[in-house]
Amino acid sequence: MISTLIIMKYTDYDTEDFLKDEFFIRWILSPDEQTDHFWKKWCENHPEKKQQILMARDFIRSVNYGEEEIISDQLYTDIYEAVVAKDISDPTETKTINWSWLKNIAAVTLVVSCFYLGYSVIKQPNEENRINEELVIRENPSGIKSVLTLSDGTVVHLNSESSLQFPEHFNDSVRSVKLTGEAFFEVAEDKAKPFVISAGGNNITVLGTTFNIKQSENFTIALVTGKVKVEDPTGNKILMKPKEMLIMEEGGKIVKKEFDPLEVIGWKDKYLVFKHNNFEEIKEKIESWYGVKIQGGGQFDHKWSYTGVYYNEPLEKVLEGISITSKFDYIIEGKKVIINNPK
Amino acid sequence: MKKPKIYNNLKHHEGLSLMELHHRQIMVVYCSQSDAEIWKSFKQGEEAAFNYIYRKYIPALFNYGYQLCKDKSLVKDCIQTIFMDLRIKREKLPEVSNIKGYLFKIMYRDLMRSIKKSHAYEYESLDNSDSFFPIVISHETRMINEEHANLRKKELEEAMAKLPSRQRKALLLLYREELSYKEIANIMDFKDVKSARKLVYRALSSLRSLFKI
Repeated sequence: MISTLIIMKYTDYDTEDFLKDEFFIRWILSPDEQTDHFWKKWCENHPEKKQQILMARDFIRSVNYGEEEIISDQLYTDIYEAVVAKDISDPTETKTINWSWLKNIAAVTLVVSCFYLGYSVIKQPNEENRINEELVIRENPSGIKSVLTLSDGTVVHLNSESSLQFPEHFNDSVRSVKLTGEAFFEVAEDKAKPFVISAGGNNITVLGTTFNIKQSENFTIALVTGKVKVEDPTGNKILMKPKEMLIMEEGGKIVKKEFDPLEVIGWKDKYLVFKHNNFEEIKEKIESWYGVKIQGGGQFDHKWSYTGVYYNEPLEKVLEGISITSKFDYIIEGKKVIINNPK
Repeated sequence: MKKPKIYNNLKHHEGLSLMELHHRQIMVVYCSQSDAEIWKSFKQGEEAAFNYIYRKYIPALFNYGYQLCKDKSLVKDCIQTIFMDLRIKREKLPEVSNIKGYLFKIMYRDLMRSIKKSHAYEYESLDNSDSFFPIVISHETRMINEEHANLRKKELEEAMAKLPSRQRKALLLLYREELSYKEIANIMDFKDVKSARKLVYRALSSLRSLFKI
C-alpha cells in the first residue's frame, strides 16, 4: 500500500521533482537492492517519464567541483604520521612504517577480466601491417598466473583460467589485444597509439596510463589511475575517472561505484581475498587459484560467509584458516580436496 | 627496541609493507559495516577503525576544506588537529550515524576558527562570497549517448555561476558528496532539515528553464 502511494506521487513528477527526491538521488548515485527494485519497476510502468528521468540522472551525475583539489600522497602520509606519532611512544617504531604502497597504488594499472568473450575485431590491420601482426596467444590453466611484457613495454598480469591474444609487434596506428578471463594491465604510455583491449564484446581504450578491468558474470572495470574509455557492444561510450568501478550487467544495466583495491586487484600481488564469500564463491576461487577440484562441503548454512586475506600461502594454510572459523575437516589428495562438514 | 615479531614474517613481501597490508585488510573488514558500527569501534579504541575512517574520508575532507580556503597548509593543519583531537577524545565523542557529515561539520567549524585566527583572509563573507564552491558540469561521469544528451553544459555552468554560493554548496553536498538533506542541514548549521531542502529547491527552480525537454 505504501508503494502504491509513492507511485501515485511520482506520476506527477517533472525533472525538477526527481532532482529533489532523496530516494531517486540515492538510486542514481549508489543504487542498492531497495532503490533498484523500485525504480526499475517504476521506469517500466512509466515509459512516458523516460526523458525526465534521463535528464535528472545526467544532471545528478554531472554536478562536479569546479576546482577540485586532490590531496597529494605526501600530505596524506604527513598528516597520518603526525596524528599517529602523537601517541606512539617509541619513535624508532614509526620509522619502520613504509609508505611506498601509496606510490604503488598510484602506479597501479588495469585489470581486465571477462569470461564471456564476444568476438569483436577492433580494427582490421592494413595489408602492410599484417606482416608485423603475427598473433600470439598466451593461455593460463587453473592454478597458473603469469606476467607478460608486450612489444611496447606494456606489462600484463594474466590470471589463471585466462588468455590474452596480442600481436608480436604492434602496428603503427593502434595497439590491440584481446582478452578472456582476467588480467591486470600496466599500459606503457604512447599517446600516438591508443591501447585497445577487446573483452566480452566491449572495447576498452586507454587514454592515460592506468586502469583495471574485470568480467565474471558481469563485465567490470576498476580504474586506479589515468583515464579509460569503454565502448559496449551497442556503441555506448563511457569515460571513467580514477577510483571508479564500472559494472556492466548482462541485461545492459550500468553501475558506477567505488571499489576496494585489495579485493579487486590483490590477486596480482599474490593476495587471495575472501570478502563475505559464500561456500560456492570460495570453492571457485580456491579451485582457480590452486588448480584443484573441491568435493563435499554441502552442509554449509545459507547464511554462512567468510572474510579473510591470504598472502602467498599454500593451499593447506588457506584451508586451515577457513576451517578454524568454519568448523570443517579437509583432506588434500593431490589435486583433489575433500571437505567434510560439520566437524 | 626489537621489532615486533610480525615484521619478520612479512620479510618476503616485495614492495609491500606491513602498513599496506594492514590498510588493505582494514578496507575489506569495514567496507560492509554501517557508519554507526565503525564509529563505535573507533570509540572503543580499535586502531583499524581509525585507519579506515582516515583513509576513506581524508580526500573528500581535504577537498571540502580547499573549497572554503585556498591555503592548503591551513587546510592540512586543520585536518591534522581534528584527527589528533578525535583520537584523544575518542571515548567522549558522540554517537555518529554519518561519519562524512560529522567530519564535514567539524571541518567547517574549525577551519573558520583558524582562518579568523590567522587574520590572513577576509573571513566575514567567506562561503557567502559568490565565487565559492564553483561547479562544473562534468561530461565524464555520464554516458555519452547523443539521443539523451539533454544537458547543455555551457548554459548550465553559466546558470550555476549565477547562483549564490550557498546554493552551489548544497547542490555539491547533495549530488557529489551523496549527503542527505538531514546531513546538509547539520553541516550548514540550519535549525531544521526543511531549510536545507529549501536551499536546494531554490537552486533547482533557478535552473528550471534548462530542464525543459
